[in-house]
This record gives sequence, C-alpha cells and structure tokens, in this order.
Amino acid sequence: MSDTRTRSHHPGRTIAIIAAMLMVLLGLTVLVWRLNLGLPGEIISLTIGATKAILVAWYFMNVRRAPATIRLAVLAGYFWLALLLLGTASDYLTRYR
Amino acid sequence: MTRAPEIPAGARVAHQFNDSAQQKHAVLLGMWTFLATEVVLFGGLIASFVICRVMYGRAFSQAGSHLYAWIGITNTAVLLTSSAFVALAVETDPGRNRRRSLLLSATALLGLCFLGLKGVEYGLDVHEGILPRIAWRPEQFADASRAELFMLFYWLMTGLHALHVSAGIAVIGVLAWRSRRAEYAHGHHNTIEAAGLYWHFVDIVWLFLLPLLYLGSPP
Repeated sequence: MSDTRTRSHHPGRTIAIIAAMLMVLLGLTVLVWRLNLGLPGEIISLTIGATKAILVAWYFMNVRRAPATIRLAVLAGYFWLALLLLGTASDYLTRYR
Repeated sequence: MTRAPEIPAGARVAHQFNDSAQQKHAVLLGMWTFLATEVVLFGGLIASFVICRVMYGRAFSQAGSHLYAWIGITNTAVLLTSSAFVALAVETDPGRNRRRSLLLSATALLGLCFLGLKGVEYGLDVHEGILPRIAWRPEQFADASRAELFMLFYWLMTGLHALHVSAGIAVIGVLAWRSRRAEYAHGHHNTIEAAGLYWHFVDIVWLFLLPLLYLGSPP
C-alpha cells in the first residue's frame, strides 16, 4: 500500500524542484514557438507538453508511490486513449491518401 | 465489524472498510478510475482536433494565429503554480490546518486568476469576431469554413476545460474552508488528496491544449 512506502524526507523541496523544472520546460515551449520551426516545432512543443504531464503525474499525483492497482488504473486510462488515437488515426490517415 | 488495532485515534473509517489504509486506497482508486474516463473525454476531442489539424493544416494554422497566445502561456504558468500549491497541501502534516488551508486557498485563488484571464481572453475573442455564429467575421480568414471549425474546437475544448477548472475551484475552496475549521485535524485527508489528483489532471489537460491550440501558428 502507498502508506507503507517510504515518503520523501523533504517533500516540499521535491515539489519546488519539479515546479521549477516545469517552468523551465514552459520557457522552452515558448522559445520553440518563437523560433517558428513549423511542423517539427509543433511536435517538439507537444513532446515537451507530454514531458510536463509525466512530471506532474509522477511527482505531484504521486504515481511514483502508488500501489499496483492504482498504477493499473492509470495505465488503463492511457491504454484506452492509445486505442482511441490509433483507431482514429488508422482510419483517417489511410482513407485520405 | 471489529476494527483493526492500527487505526489512528479519531480517523473516520467508514463501516465498509477494514482500516484507514484500505479506505484511502479505495478513495484514490475511485478518483483515478474517474480520471481515466476524463482522459477519454478530452482524448476524443483532442484526437478529432489533431485529425482536422493534419487535414486542414494551413487553414487551422492561420485561424490559430488569431488567438491570444500570451494569455494562454501566462495561464499555463498560473495552473502549474497552482498544481505545486495543491501538491504541497497534500504533503502538509495532518495537524497543520492553517498551512494547508492557506495552500488550498492559494490554489483556488490561482484557479480564479486562470478563469479571470480566460474571461478577458474570451472578451477579446468576441471583440475580434472569432466566436462562430454569434460574433463571427468570416472575411478575416482565407478559408472561413475551416477556420470556423478550428474556432469551434477552440471554444469547445477551452470551455469544457474552464468548466472543469470551475468545479475544481469550488471543491478546493470548500476544502480550504474546512481545513481552516480544523475539520481534518484528527482524520485522514483522503478528500484533499483525491481533489488534488483532479486539480492536477485539469492542469495536464491544459498542458496539451496550449501547444495544440495556441502554439500551432507562427508567433
């Protein structure tokens, strides 16, 4: 259970570090946008967005300390999302070629 | 039913649970299951948007340049900061009600700040004529019908997100008030942790809306 897992001795410091990292990543997103790289820029921005989301989930939402059943619920959400994205993309990206 | 001896004094364990650890697990699993359904709700919208973005690249890019990207970027910083505050509130020792209440209040205030900025942005959007059907000026777009589709996505996704933020502010606000009244002093604070998960999720959705809607066009 999550209660029995070792908690960080300085949770406040971890949160501050992650918050600072998120702000740096936001700055990076803005920089990529200002550089106007076109499609590669959009892909980089989305990748940075996904990185920020993983940091929030792992540290702020405590997935790193979550028991197996909760990790399974998290993965189930992303599994259904992946099915939705793959199913939709496989249709549209092949039909209009 | 007899309770397990390790239950801390005063912890409110509902009769269907063996102990507070089991209760906490059930609360968090329930919230994560709810969030999984939310992932699919926003995921469906985002998938539809991405398909249209790929198919109507130029029209969507041109339409996106009419949005106020700096408001979107500022709002991202606001939400990320609020997420850090709610994470700190969850980590606060159960006995430190004043500190937790302040952190939750700061989170709710930042949420209000987000909505305020969004409201200002919506006002500017209406003024600029990019609200389909109601305040719509098609002459400013090269491909007005596809630009209208982009704007429908923009209003629907940001509007649905703003509704989620509003619900989050209400929940976090109530928890801040209850913390101040020391209602969590002797109990577990599963409710705060579950509300925190919801707030972080709302933040994560915005992390994807920013590059998709606002940053898909040249500055």
